[in-house]
Amino acid sequence: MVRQPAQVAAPRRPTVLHRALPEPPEKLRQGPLREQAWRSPLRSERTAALLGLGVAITFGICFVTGVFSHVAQNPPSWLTWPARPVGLYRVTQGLHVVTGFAAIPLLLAKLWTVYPKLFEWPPLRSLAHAAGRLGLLILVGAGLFQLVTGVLNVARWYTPMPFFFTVAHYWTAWIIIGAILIHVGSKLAVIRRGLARGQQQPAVDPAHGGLTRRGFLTTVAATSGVLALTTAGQTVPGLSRIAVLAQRDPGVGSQGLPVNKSAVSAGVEDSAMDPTYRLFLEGPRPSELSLAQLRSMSGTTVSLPITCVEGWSASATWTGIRVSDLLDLMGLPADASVMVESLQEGGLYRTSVLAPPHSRDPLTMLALQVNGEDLNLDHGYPLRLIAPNRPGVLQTKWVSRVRAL
Amino acid sequence: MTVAPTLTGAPAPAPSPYRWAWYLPGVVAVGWGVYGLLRNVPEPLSYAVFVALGIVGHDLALAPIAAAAGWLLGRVAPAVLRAPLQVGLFGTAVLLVAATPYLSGQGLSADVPSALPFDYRTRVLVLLAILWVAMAAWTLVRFGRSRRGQSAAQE
Repeated sequence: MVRQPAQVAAPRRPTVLHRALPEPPEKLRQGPLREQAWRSPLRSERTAALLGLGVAITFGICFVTGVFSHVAQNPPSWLTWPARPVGLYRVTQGLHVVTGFAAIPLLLAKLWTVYPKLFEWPPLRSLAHAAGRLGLLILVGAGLFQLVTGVLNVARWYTPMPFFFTVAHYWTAWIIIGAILIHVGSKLAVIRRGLARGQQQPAVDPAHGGLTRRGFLTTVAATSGVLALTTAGQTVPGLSRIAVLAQRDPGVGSQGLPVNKSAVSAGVEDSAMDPTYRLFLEGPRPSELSLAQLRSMSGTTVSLPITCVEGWSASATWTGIRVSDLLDLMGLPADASVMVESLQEGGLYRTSVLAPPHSRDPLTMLALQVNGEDLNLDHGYPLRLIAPNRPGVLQTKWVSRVRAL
Repeated sequence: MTVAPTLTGAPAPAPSPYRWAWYLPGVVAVGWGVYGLLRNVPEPLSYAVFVALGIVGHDLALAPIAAAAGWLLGRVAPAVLRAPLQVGLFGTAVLLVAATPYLSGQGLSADVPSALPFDYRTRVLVLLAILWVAMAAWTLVRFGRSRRGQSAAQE
């Protein structure tokens, strides 16, 4: 049998997703939509790829440290939250906020670089193209959302956010990280081409006097660095002198330490000062301890940082009673968890769960004194919880009850 | 032709076969995030409006201003000034965008004086002053270089 010569494959009809959609009339192509409307030589595949890499790295760091913070505050039952290193949360949360600020110039520069694509022509080539553009809308929207809400939160400006910040910011983090992964996947070949050296780029005319592409990238990186440095002062001692975007000065506050929730706003001024105040211990061996008894039991001093979820932190020395000793008093076993409750009556953070290893850690304390003085009302008088590697919202103030779980 | 050209008008390269390794976890993460939002944010409309305002605020306000500034610079500014102005304006814009919530004073609380303790207005002004002094110095250096270049060309 004579073999037929190999057939040239007939061109396949594109699938529904890739079939060309009708183009709008050419005369609508005005202003920014024109082909030669965007001519800056700073816009190249290479600058887009490098800025994209910067955005991906900063958002990636924020994602990991952010999920870490979320899990610290909402540990699942199967996870043991470590009590060491003592300052781990301080480092991760400080890094989260500083990196978030560093991401601002990177994202803005990346958006500037690809801005002409908003006006691409034809605007919708096919259904697949339209889906891609919708995906980009989600990418840009979620990215801007994270940075805007993050800065608003650190600046304590809550009114523009008609939703609960922690919840919206956390779930949007999954959206932005997923959108970045999808975006990178769709651009793999372009990124590779953009990052490869010695390929065609629009020429930069030196007589023009504007920034070169290297100058552009250096400017963006330097701006990122400056924002990071001028934010880090809220958690890195010594940098507060040059802080511009910091929410706190770690050394500024009553008793040498910043305050977040005041006694007034927690509504505990009367109950905390009540002479009949008791610490209730509810367990196999229940008891009540008066302030005088607590003072006589107090004597251990530890040095621990207080770290807020807004990324600032400050170290202090705390004097009080080891929680482990109290758990022994209550007749609890080594692996017991307890609920620590505040005199504060409302609010999300009036209670916290203290589980192993924190519950038995020698550094975990119910403190009566900070930096050598009795706790003042704003710092949790008469008693506050302080433990290593623990977010500030879980370091319960105005403690009134420890209950076995 | 249903695949759009890239940023610089070059034809798009063939999509990488590895893209699915990125798409899969990406779609799972987005789905998880949307699920979490729907379950935990009782104000989905307010959330959506906020996101939309962010996109509009950038695409229809911030970005056109940046584009117009760049265009104006190219037309009006002498070459010796262009790069320093680009750097100065970029740094100023980014700093102001990041610092606006602090400068507004909206976050101050009478009962927590240790929150936002810095004099933000002064510090931002100092930072901007440092930036623009540096840009002025750089302009002088560029001016000196172009003068030397001119006199060398005349010899």
